[in-house]
Amino acid sequence: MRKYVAWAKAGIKSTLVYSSDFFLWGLNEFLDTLIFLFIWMIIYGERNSIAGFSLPETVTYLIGVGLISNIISSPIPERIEKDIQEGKLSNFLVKPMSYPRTRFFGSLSGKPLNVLIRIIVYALVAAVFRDKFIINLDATILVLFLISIIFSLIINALLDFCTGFISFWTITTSGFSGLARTLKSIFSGGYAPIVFFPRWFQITAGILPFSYTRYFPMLIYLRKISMMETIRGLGIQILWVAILYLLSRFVWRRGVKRYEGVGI
Amino acid sequence: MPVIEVKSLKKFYQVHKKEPGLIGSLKSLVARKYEDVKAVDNISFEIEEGELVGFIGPNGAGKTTTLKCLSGLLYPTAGVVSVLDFNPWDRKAAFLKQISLVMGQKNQLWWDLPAMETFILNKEIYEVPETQFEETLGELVKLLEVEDVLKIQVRKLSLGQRMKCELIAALLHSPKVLFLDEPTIGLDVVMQKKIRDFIKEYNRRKKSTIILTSHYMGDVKELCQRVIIIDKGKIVFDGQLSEIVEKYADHKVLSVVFGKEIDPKKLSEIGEVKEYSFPKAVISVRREAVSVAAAELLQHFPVADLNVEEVPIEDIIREVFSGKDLA
Ligand SMILES: Nc1ncnc2c1ncn2[C@@H]1O[C@H](COP(=O)(O)OP(=O)(O)O)[C@@H](O)[C@H]1O
Ligand SMILES: [Mg+2]
Repeated sequence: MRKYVAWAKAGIKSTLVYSSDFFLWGLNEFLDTLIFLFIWMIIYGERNSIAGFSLPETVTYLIGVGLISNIISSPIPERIEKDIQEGKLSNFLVKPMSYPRTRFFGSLSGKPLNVLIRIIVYALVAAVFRDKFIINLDATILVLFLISIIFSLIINALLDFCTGFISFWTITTSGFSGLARTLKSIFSGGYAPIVFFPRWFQITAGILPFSYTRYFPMLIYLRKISMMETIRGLGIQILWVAILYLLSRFVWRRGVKRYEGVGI
Repeated sequence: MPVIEVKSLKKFYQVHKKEPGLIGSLKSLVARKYEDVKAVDNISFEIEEGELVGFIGPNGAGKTTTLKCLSGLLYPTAGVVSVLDFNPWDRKAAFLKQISLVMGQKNQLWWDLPAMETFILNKEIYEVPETQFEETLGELVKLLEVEDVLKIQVRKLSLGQRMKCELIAALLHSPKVLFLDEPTIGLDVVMQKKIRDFIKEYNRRKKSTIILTSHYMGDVKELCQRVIIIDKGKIVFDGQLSEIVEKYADHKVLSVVFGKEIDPKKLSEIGEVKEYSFPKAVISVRREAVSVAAAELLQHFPVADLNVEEVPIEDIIREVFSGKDLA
């Protein structure tokens, strides 16, 4: 464990070298989100609610989803692609350490600073829309909300590993991971609450793991689901963690075999 | 008990063969054709503890592939490999803790951080005790004279400084077996010599087993007594460096300095004139005829200075690679 902590520490120091970039990213994010929210206000117009979501609920939803996306997202797929293509993976394989674990903890290392900046950015957005932003201070809800975000983070990381490991078989994954990212955004409810979409879409989204990374935590926060549904959702999240863990481990093992050139 | 044992090792890469043109591309989408690249083709050797062996051959000979098989990065197509009694590709932690692989073109140092950070990280990864770490680091830093670069961001270091730091990073856990893949590639002559001197000294002090690859004779000539020469995936020579010279250099070289102008035509009666520009000449003579030739030179020419030298190893190797049978 100590070795991975040490790795994460080096990662933090390494990102701090570029800390001035963070400010620009933050500003960019702020403006994007503002515009996005103004568009939704136009869409609402005089309407009171869309699919059961009032305007304040939608505004809060979109701010929350934006923040969660940033907290859980990681540069893992691009990293893995680079490591495999440039042969840097070899540097890890000849050392007594686990590559996936190293990359996972390494991705956590960038989080504290990143999360801090995002919280500031989204707090500013919320301040701009203060008459529409719903503040929920119920302790139970907040705890469940946080737990669901932790599972989101793990599910998202495991999905990222699976996407990244595709590089073992293809020359470039950037096209694929771009498509994956878009699908992920839509099916996780990143652009709009999933109930806004047609029935078939909602069913598909329910079967896929993505909605459990962003939509589900925000439903908890907005009290859109009952306690029973919340517990059930957390259970499904755990199930997805297990399934995706096994899947990514399987893909990793096959990939390394290919990297080693075992009978292929 | 040898530290490294390689028996009938083969490593073939399957490369996807594409026929030229659009039709070819379409065909290959439907039915892929594969072709074997015999990177390593049935090689065997053993290396004892503490040996420093030069593994040389031209580009594409299979040197890197062999080292990758030995360090567990590649799964062999056939054959047996044992390093420190381990199957390298099991990649057991106990095995990985005792080896190190340095590839001249692949860096493990963190680009944006000072080299010291990578060293500390490796200390954790290899679970090196603090006191041992301090001691080893101190010794390596002194030997390589890098005291003042440890705190500088790696991206700002020169290639030579970086290579020195790479070596330190690879040696902090005191590996028993060290694989060095072209460690001097791209370095200037002075730096090459420093790195070579270091490797030699390190081997002497620590008695670690080292395989060093190079496509480049200078490295091996100064470092290794034993060389393994590989070409097109096959071993063409394995033995003492001095043996190659004795066995395969049937000529010696006479370098002469004349006191007065001479008739170059007469010189060719002595042997094959490789070079002549007054006052110097280089003449190649069959080994057994050397004393006669030298005597003749001294008798019939105004010789100011005369030296008998072995043919440069580079020339011999070149002959080996150009297909002269060594069996
Ligand atoms: N991953 C690979 N796929 C296909 N062919 C390869 C691969 N790696 C090396 N080769 C081929 O195998 C041969 C040996 O390569 P290598 O071991 O790198 O030689 P060296 O290190 O002696 O220059 C070369 O012909 C090279 O083109
Ligand atoms: Mg090579």
